[in-house]
Amino acid sequence: MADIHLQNIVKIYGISKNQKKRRGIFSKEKELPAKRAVDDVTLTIPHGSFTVLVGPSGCGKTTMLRMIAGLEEITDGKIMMADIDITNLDPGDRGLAMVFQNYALYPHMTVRENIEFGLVNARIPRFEIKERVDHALDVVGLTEYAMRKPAKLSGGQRQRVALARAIAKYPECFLMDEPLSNLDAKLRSEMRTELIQLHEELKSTFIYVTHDQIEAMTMGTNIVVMNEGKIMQQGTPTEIHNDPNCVFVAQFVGDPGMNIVPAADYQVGFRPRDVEFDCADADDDHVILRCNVKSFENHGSEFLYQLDTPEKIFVKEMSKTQRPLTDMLTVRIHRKNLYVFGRDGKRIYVNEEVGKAYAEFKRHWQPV
Amino acid sequence: MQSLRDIGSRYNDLQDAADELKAALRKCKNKQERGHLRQKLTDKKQELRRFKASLAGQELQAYKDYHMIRREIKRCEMLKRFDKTGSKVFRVINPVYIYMFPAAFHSVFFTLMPFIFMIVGAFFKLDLVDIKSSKFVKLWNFYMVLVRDDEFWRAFGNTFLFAVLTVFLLMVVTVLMSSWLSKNTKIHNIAQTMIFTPHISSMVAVGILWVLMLDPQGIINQILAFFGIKGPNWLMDSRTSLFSVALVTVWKSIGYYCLIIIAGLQSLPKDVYEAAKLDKAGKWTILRKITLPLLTPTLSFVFIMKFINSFKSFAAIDVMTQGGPQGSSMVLGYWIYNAGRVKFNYGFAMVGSIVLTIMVAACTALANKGFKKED
Repeated sequence: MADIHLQNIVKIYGISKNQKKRRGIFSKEKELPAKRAVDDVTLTIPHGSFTVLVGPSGCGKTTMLRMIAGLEEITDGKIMMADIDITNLDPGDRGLAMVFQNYALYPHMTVRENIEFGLVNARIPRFEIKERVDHALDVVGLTEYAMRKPAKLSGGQRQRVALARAIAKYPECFLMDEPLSNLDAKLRSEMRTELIQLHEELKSTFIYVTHDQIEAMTMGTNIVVMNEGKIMQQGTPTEIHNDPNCVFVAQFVGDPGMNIVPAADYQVGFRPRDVEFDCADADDDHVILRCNVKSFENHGSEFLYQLDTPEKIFVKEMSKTQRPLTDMLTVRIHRKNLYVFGRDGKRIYVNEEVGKAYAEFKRHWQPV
Repeated sequence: MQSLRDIGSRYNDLQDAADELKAALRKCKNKQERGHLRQKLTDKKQELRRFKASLAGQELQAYKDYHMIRREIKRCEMLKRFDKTGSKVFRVINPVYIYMFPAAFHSVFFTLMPFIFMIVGAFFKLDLVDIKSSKFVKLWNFYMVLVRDDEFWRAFGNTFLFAVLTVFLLMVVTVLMSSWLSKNTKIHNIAQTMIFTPHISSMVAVGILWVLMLDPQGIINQILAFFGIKGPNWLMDSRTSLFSVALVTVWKSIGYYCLIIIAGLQSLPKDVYEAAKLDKAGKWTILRKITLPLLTPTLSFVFIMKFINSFKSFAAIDVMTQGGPQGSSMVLGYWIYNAGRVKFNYGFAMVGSIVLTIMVAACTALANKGFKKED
């Protein structure tokens, strides 16, 4: 099976001569400071997985995808597909198909020609091309639009054409660069489910780049969280959500992310929805917070309160009782729902230290 | 603190009073009263000056600040008034007409009126020195030019040939060249500049240079002789003269049109090219199947502009061959010049111009239609 291995991949911008920037006519050429967009990344993408690269903008996820596609030069490192080194192969020879953020359809060709173009270039016999195009159009449900030009299609339909173009190539691996970010919210959720179904149908590898953690959580089977060119954590959505290994992942995943509160030499975090309301009876396993409410958001099925504390603390209430905002809010957090991180942001698993942090946290927050 | 504020209020009081006096002075018509008011105004100003002189240090600074604030407020009020009057004016007169005026003036007096004069003049035996002695000759000019003049038809054919030759030569060369040049490295930039230089120099200078180079004993034939080829007589031969001139005009205009095409190339979407790369398209396929179709708007512009320009070409012919030998390089532009300014047959020249105008219009319309269809 064709797993994709990235071995110590590095991408540095600003060392090639074409990257020089010049301002004004008389000023000298300035070399941009070298920036490591992707910093020593080693990653295995298993065959058949729906891998989502997720992270804030500028974290190098798109660069990594483009390096896999062969559109970006690799400064250092190796990309292997199964046991074939594809580092220096042409993009067309890697057996990949890519779906771009703004579709990148050929505007002067009809939908059918758009899909055919890659197949004709790959010297595939004509009868097979017809079969593949028909199949791809059938999968995305655009058969009756085959003779139209992209300009006469809506955004969602164009996205489907781009998908069909990728499907028709029968690639080892689909690369998708934020393909849903140009669609409106409703269409996006529709396309999301369709992509998941497509993945189940085709059973090939999907590599999907997004900055939207909700998209990542709902679609991915294998999530890679990135920050500043490095991989922070890799795992299934449940692992990422329930067992974050650092503060960044904890805060990035979830809506809103985990609340992080400093306690002496540690940082303690808990999820906004892991709290109980209106329980004031304290015991060893619970911490009680009493606070004023700073702001309030109504999400329809749930309420989100921001507490009036120096740290940003959100709590989520799932019941439908709306409480007066002037009152103090009393919430209770169970000890098992607390996550303990070190000063450097790394998760701490050692039991003794967790206990120490818990004691600190409790001392700090117990109502007087 | 209080004293500083006092300074402000006193300054403002004095200034207000002075402004009021100024307004009154502007309204007042009576001579005696005017003198009276002016006296009062100078008094107030003096008072203000004395007040300023009595201040020092921080207080003086405060005075200056208040002065600046007052000036700023006045400036804003003035700008507001300016905006108001501006919008009042533009509500009455549509600003479009104002902006349009220079161009409209130019096109009416230097294009439209000569055009009408040309059409009317074609029916006269014109005498530009003594215009009253011109005679109305009905269609005689047309008859003489279109039926009796063989050279005219030859020029007509030559013009067409010349235009087609230059346009196609230019299109092929510029597209290939600019698709190579549209990168942003140092060498490419230098090459772009070098290609552009002929466009800056005048056609006359370029023409003279090429006359020397295309001489039967010139540098080009010498180079050809070095390789054992006997070069043609270029400009002196009736078979090659038109082609030689076309070559020179193409050489001169490559830079300009290259620039336009490069601009067009650089505005093409980049991700489409990346998609093509993933679609296994080679360089030639990309040029043929993607670049050219996407570049159609720019290419149609270049095509039409160059077509019109080659129909009008005059300077190159005048400098290099003057229509010779035996009228082999005579084009309509030069024929019109010859008929009008050399032989003083203005009627004939005007008929020739009418034919040329119709030709340009027809070809442009045709080209436009052709390019639109492809979209």
